[in-house]
Amino acid sequence: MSLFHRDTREEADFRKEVREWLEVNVPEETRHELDVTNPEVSREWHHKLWKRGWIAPHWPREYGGMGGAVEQQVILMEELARVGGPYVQPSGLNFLGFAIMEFGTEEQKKELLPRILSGETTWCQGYSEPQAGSDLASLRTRAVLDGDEWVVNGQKIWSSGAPHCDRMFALVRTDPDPAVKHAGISMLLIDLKTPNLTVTPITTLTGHVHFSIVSFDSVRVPKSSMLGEVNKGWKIANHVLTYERISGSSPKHDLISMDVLRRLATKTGRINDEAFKERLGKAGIDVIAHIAMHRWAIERVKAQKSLGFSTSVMKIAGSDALHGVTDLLLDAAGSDAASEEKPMDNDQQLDALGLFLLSRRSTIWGGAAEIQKNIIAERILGFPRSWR
Amino acid sequence: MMNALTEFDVGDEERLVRDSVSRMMQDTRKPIVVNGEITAPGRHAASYMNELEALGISELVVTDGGIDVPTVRRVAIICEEAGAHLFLGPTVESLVVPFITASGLLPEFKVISADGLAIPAFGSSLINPFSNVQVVRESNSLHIVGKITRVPFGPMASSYVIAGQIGNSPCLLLISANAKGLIIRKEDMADGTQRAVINLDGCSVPVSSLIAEGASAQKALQLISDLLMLGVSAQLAGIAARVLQLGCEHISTRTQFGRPLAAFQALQHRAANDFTAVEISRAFLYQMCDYWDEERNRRPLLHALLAKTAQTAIDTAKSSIQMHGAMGFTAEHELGWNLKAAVALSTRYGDIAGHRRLFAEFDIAYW
Repeated sequence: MSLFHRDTREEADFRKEVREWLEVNVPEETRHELDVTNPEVSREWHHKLWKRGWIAPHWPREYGGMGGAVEQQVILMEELARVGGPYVQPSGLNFLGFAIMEFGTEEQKKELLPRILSGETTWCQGYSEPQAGSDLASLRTRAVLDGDEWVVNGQKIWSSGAPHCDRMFALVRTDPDPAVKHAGISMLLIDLKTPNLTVTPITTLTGHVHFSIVSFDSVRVPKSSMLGEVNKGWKIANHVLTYERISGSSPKHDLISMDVLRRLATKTGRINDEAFKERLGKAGIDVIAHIAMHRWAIERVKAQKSLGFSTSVMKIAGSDALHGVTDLLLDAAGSDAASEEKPMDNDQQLDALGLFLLSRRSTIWGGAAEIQKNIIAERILGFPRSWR
Repeated sequence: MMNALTEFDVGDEERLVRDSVSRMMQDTRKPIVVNGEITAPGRHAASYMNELEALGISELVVTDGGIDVPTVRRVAIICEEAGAHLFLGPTVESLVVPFITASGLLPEFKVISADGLAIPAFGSSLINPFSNVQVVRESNSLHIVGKITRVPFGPMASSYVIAGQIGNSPCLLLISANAKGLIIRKEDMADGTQRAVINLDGCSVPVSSLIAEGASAQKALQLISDLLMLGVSAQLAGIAARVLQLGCEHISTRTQFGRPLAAFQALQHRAANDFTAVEISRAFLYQMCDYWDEERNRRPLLHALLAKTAQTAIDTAKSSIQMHGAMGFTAEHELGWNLKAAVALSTRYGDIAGHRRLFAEFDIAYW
């Protein structure tokens, strides 16, 4: 049972099984982490879920999943959020895997998909560049075919998890002079241990090593490492981004932050302040409304209907709701908000500032909020391309 | 409904209900000029009621299946269309009788209330209205003492559903507007509707006016209150959708600096924010209908829904007025009436801040 969903008997049994297993198997010290603080813990956890058969309920059975069982995926997501399960690098499982299934060669499917599933190979996304962020199609990293290899030169940046990953799916320019700039882009699958490739970690404002700069100085990549056709990478990139926006608009972080907010407000006594209570209600209501839309989207996916550009609506609503909650966390913490001595509740640290800082990324990653608004304006409301 | 909005209707039957209501209400948005003055749409609520009756709105709601999800969804559709068409009559209020009849909770109710419009007169707070009115039973009559303030559409009703107490036991009464000793004071609202203060001191009615006592009275009150909150939320969602449409249409056609206003990113983003809020509010509305049977969460979620749709309607109307510039600030334009209606509806049964606080007090079960 969750809001706006009644479990079937099978789903209820699955939820019970998952809940019981997680209670036993999620180590206390790794609970409630919302980012990679320890990549080894993350890998071990991935492996453990895989061994249990629960790492990819949404993957088709032929590729080792649970048969595209969307509801099982949601139950797992909800139960993991409830117990505060460790972070799992999502790029391979949630984004690239599906792109390989759709656009990959049989060899790529055979070689790459099982390793994504087992966690043997972890993947990061190589999209943004120092001069190509929201304007992704302006990317400049070049790949030139030389015999049986692509020679890559350029830089990628803001690749989530790159310092801890094995490989990168990168967008590169293979046609330097296309008719439109979205053309002439291809998707390359690159081993991050390749000679002349340098990974320079970037520490985020939360203190985690999450991003990196990845520099390519005539890096040689086998010709067979291209995903899909040459110069057709933009389509794959969008395919991946759609999955990222669905996954990125999941209410998981909202609910975790809401739980901490209630506990902190109770502990600090702010919950008894009528004005605070009103704001708490507003924050909770925005989360609930977002859950309602997300739940509608899940039902659409289950019915194999397109979500269209609703993913942009959900992404904006989700990140706004999260910001509402984490803004209020600072109020709940009051004059102790910036203290490094965090209050504890049942052995869990109630880190208001940490969650507040972490939530800044929600309006940036997976296509900034402003880009989502452009999409809504142009693609849903039919407005002319804006004068920028 | 604006085409760009997600269609949450399920099946042809729901679409038919929406189309029928929409067609019937198509003229209600037009400003009416009386003696050279533009009059508030709500002032014509009584005449619209006849049209509603002619359409057979009650029949759209009542089914043999009692209060099931399709019934609740039809209530939402009717009320949403009423909001979108600036139909300011007692829409959800007029559905109380068929709804409560279909619930089977009050078997005698249908017979008693068949004549005219029976309005729930609980006042603006739906939280424990029983204490406003004391009832003393004396042989064949009931003697009543109490006053109920802020009764929406009070002046146009032929009878009232009133919550009271016999001793400490809650009860529901159905009292004629012509009951001996009942005094009504009219109050004009900004949207043109009227509400009433009903003074019952010294009022005497037959014992047959008592329609429920004890637990059944509480249960019926709960259901009626929940219905009112859902219906008003749907009306607010309809207003939000309408003002969004007006804003988007205006900036698509109005040209400044040699290009449509909709080509400017600042306005595009304003519209995108509004669109997002309206989509989310409507998704919430229809999910709420689909999970109406989950009584564990129903009341807190209704507080949440009403607060959300009210805020969205008011914010989107404000935004649309801004997009229209001075045109949006005129009495001729329907936008101002939509804003006034949004404010009136959002304060009809409680207010936004109160609903938020009430929601916060529930430790809602997310899973």
